[in-house]
Amino acid sequence: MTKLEKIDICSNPDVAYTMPASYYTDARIFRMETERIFARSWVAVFGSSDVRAPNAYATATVADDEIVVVRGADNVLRAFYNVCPHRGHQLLNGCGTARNTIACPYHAWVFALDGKLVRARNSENVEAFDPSLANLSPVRVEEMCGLVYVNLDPTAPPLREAAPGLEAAIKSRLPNADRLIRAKAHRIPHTTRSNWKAIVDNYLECYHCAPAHPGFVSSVRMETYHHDLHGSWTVQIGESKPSATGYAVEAESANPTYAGFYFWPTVMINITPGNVGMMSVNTMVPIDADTSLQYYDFYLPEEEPTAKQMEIIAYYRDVFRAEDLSLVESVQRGLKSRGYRGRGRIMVDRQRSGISEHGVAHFHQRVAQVLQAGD
Amino acid sequence: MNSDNHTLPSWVYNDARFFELERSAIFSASWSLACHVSEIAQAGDYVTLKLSGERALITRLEDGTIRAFHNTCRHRAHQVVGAERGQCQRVHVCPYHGWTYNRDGSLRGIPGGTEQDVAQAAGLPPIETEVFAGFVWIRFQSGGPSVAQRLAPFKDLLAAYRIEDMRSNQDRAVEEHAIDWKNMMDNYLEGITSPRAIQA
Repeated sequence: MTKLEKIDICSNPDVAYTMPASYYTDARIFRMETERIFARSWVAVFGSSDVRAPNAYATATVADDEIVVVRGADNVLRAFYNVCPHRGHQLLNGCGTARNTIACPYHAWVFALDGKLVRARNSENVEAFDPSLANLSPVRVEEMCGLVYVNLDPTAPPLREAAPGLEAAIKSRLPNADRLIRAKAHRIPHTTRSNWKAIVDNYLECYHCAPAHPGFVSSVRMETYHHDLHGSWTVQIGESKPSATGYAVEAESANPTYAGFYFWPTVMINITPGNVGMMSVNTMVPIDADTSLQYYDFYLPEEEPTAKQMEIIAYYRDVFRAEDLSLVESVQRGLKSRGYRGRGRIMVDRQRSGISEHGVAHFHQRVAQVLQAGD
Repeated sequence: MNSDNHTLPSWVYNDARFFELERSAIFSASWSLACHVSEIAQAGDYVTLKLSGERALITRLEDGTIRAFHNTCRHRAHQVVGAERGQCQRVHVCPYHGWTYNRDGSLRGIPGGTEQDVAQAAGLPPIETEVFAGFVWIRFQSGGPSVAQRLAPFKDLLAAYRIEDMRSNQDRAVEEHAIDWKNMMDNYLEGITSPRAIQA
């Protein structure tokens, strides 16, 4: 693996510049990220509700690899590479309910839901066939706050060790998080012509909120807005206020704040203010340096949204999301321009105010540490 | 290839990597026609365009000179001016974080920034321009002859049309076709197309 030239990226956030523009556009950097970040981190893939029932399965792409997550009849959730050990064909497609075994569509090898080979056709007539070498390859899988996470690195620490305090912080605002249901009908998929890091950058600062999200700013008391950094995760918190252009929150609400969680590398969780008991989650599948597939999902107590929840879904879908998508695509074009000098100033302010960009500096420092580390 | 009077090999009309090379070696290094002078007749008038992966802002200043800038914010690389044409009343405001730029491309203000921050930050990088035969030309990469030098052999021929006295009707037709630019040029550069093809 190539080593990157060591340059100082955000070691002092107060005087920081972004990572070089080439980090957002270079295919070699993207390959390094695939190996060092996406293949070694806990990556949120879908909702717990997608695999809650026995035999339920769902598939995902992680670090350019195909993964299948399936719940056994024993109620244990397991994940495997979605690849037959015989000739490499894909085993399951999409999501649904598996039978009690998984049959590869190519040569009909059959596996139990715990990954063990049940039957390889004609193996009894094959010299020295070793069934213990023909089980599915397992992948680490854990659940937290209504989401399923997988990690391709067998030596990685458990999910909760990788995100100390995150679960408690989410559940203090959303006690029912584990039980939420992903509203399949309201998923907003988008193939965004932008590097995944430009999408994270955009999420990690509210400096752009006033110019770019007037509705959001009108529904949050920006003087209370702050961004707390916790290593692998961060949270942005702002008190809500009544607004005509954002969405209304009941004054007597038990939970009057908006909270936006980012968890390295690719998941963003928004907990809406008010007693609506829902969250919106953006899970990202980086495709290449210039392209990211974003899944924007709403997690609700019941699969069918209430009128109030539907109002919030419509606001995110029609206003907030649309604003962010055009921003990050414009940035990606600009990062390739001769007219951009390669590194932009990160506008961290002394008081770490609501518009301070210290979250961006924090993220860039982490990316640089991973990419510049020698192997 | 045993003869030098064949077309370019067909793959160069269909290859993304070759197109990337053309972008840097041909489009960026050559003069491109940006607009007619009448499209930016008044101080503050501007047009924007996207060309070979770059975004340009072409405008007229108070002293009547015509200038062009990269239409990309110094902060986070967002496009500063979104409209295709218009009149800059006071400043250009980047829609992402609200950084403002003067008509001459210099940085005016940084939300949340001090005057010192503004003084230290650079404005929009200029793009080379030339006005010739009533048109504004721009070039992203400097070097080589001017437009006037390039078109010197046609100077008198062009002068007869008095292009600089014309007015744009500001009704540009933009069409996108799934053909390589060289295919289009090949077609323009020969007059032996059959009359039937032109009627059709």
